Amino acid sequence: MKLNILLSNLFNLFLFLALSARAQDLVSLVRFADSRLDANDPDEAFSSFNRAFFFLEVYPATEITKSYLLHRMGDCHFKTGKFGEAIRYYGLAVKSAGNDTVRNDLVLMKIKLYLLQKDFYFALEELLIMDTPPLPDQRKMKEIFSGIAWFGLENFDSAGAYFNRLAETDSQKVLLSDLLKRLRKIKHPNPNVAQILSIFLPGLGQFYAGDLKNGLNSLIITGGLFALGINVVLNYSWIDAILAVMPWYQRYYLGGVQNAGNIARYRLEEKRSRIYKEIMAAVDSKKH
Amino acid sequence: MRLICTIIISLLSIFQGSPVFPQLYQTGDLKELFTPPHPETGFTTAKDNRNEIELFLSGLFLVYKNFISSQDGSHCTFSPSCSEYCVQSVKKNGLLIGLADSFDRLTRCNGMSPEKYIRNPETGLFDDVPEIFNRYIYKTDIQ
Repeated sequence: MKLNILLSNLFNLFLFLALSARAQDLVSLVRFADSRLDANDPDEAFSSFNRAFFFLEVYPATEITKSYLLHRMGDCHFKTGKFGEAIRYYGLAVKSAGNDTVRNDLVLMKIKLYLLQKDFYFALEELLIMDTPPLPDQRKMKEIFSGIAWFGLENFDSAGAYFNRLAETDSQKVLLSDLLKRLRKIKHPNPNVAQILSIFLPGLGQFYAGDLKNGLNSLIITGGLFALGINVVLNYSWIDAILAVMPWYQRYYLGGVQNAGNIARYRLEEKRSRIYKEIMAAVDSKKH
Repeated sequence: MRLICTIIISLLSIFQGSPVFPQLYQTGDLKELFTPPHPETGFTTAKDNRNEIELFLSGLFLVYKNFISSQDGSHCTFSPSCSEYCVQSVKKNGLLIGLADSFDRLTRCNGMSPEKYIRNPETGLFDDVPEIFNRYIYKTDIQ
């Protein structure tokens, strides 16, 4: 009899333990995923967030929301440099965001990633749709991103208008307006002009863009091939020159024209990027 | 009453203002956004030479890259380019087999080559890295 009671008690104990025990609950799983992301292990963190997202439907937890999990999955992709995927997850998180602050932060993060990917039209589209955020920091970021997006689209007047709004002190206003004036004046070297000059005389476009080494190099190579072509015409025939020298000549002649445009574009972008960095430094000087 | 309301509203605004994304408010990564990529000048292929032949070949490669190839548009179908492939193959397989492998590569560097290659999405070129051959000119798995 005593043995029966003992066995029945043991059975009840095991039954209770079996029913009450859980391997891992949702909150601890998300906490683990957060810790993995903080420890710079985005792949492991992503798979844990993904698992938590799957079980959220079955075991709803008040502390965890869909939006939070989606935004953290976006963070994982951001850390691994997969900006396109991060944008997709942030976009999904926006739809289920609990309040305006979080929603605006998510939208701004999406815009930042579009800018980092140089998708300026997509960034601008999001910026134009977005309402004016209530928090000053978010408003400021929206202005900065608008300025950068217009800058990327080479519309410097619109970019200037947004950057000007960020000036808080008089000295900042003076500095920014001076930088924007300098930015609008940068039109030299024009890549189209450089290419046209190289069509007339190989190397001339490179000289115009300020690259003497490449200009001289192009002039010597194409000049040498031209001289070789003339020599073949005089000593052999037109057909020999066309068959033997023309393919080489056209290759270096057209390559020179293309290079002149690229060099001018590089110089122009370098000048603009220098001003852009100064603008960002001026805009950032009062921030945080 | 008014004071209490003000305190509650300011506390709420502080709570609401806590940033969801700390990285959102850092503009450091946007500062280099418009810096153009610098044209390639130092070629890693020409480094780490183990003997005079490799040194000589790397020198020829640098002269070709800086003074001849730089004046030309981009025409090579593959990545690495044929000149880089030549130097790499000679370094891996020695002068004779490396040069033979480079000539083989030159015959394949055209749009009508029957071999199938994987296109690199970043460069838009076909990936073709020189392999190591053993002394019977068979390709080996050892890299």
